[in-house]
Amino acid sequence: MEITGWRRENGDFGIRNHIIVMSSVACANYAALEIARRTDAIPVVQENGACGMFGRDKKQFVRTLVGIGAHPNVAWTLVVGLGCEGVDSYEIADRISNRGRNAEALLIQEEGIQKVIERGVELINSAKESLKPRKDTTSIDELVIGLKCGASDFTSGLISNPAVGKVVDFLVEQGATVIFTERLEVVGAEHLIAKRAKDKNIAEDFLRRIRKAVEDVNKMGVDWIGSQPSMGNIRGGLTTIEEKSLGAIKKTGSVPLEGCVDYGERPPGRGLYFMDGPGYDVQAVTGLVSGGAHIVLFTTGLGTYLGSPVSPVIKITGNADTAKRLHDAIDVDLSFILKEMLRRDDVSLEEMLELGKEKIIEKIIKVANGELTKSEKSGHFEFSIERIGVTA
Amino acid sequence: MKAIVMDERDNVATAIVSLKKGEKVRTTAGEIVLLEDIPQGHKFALREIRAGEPVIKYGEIIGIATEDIKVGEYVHVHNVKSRYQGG
Repeated sequence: MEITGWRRENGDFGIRNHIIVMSSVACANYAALEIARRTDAIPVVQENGACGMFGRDKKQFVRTLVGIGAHPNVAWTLVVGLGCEGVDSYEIADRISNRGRNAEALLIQEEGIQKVIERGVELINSAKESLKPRKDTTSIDELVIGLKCGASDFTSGLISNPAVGKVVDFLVEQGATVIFTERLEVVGAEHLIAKRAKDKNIAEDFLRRIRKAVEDVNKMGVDWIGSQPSMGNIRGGLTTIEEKSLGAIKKTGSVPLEGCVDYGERPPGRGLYFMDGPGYDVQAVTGLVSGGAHIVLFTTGLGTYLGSPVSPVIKITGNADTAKRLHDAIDVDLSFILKEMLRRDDVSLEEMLELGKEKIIEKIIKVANGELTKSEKSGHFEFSIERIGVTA
Repeated sequence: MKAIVMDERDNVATAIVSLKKGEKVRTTAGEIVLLEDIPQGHKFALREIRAGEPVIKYGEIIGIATEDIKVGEYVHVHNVKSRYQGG
């Protein structure tokens, strides 16, 4: 299964060739958005960070911005800052450059906003001229695939997640890398993932991260079990957090767990990795992409239009109503599985899921070779970094 | 088939369409007569589950029965408790 894309100077392989303009703080969003508007560069703007952050929280924020700027799908990055904020735009550009990729930074307080916008437009226009065509080749083993489910319903645990699980088994067998996240969506099923850990240390690391996530919620003094499953989940038929999590982890297939990484961090090897990240769709996808995901497989029951500034997000549903109502959001419609099951008594779920797997793999190959996903076509560039600390 | 059994160890099945009380439903675990209406995506018992016994789906425990559940009865938050739930 050949994939044609871009071999980067540092050896990475990209399936998109984006120029991005990234604000390092919300105070610079106006400039970043204006530069993007005038150049068609993709904006990556902040909603909740960059100033008044401390310790691990700040490290995570910077790591994620660097991960996005140095992403294999990005050809060139412009970082725009205000100047006085706690996160240094020059440091972000330097760290992207240190990873063997291309970035420049501009500060509004050094030149005034009009000059920064003009200079930004010039820099991006010259970067555009150096863009190369899609011509380098690789195979599926070099892909990094992120996993996420959102707006789940009863079809997620029955159809889309198990079908993606089969895809994961196939991808990992081919030598690819897969990252799953959503630390609270494994509660009640964590023992099954831990059993799949390659060694005892990895199992303990994984279980420790899940325990900490539960403790963090308990510290807020809420009965979080009352919110998991949510009222919507309960109306949809999910009875307990265990049932929800067992359905959610179906998408990780049955391959061994190779290790855990922090939010936004790149896995050090191939195979299946857990990223210690949130369930909130936008922040989870941002973390997965910063971790190097070329493509995110997003299973959904009720549907969403979510995209990402640098990596295609493939939406998969097993719900026929959603596939119809949100036809401009769904990339892979697996609703034929339940229809066939309902129509016939002589067909097994297992064989239908195999057909679902084939459909998803076919879509991955097409999208990796340049076919636009629905969210790319409609221009969805949602972006948000998880905060884990207080703001000064 | 109007209901799916995810694993042969399961003692519940999931309705893939809304089902009516009294309906006979074929499943891979045999034919079940429903004692209650079952909404789409919700579960019913394939075997008798006594109070305190585990409710099993995907071959794993999804919770504990809080009362005796008969074959064909609706299984949900009214008669199942998460092991993570206090009280």
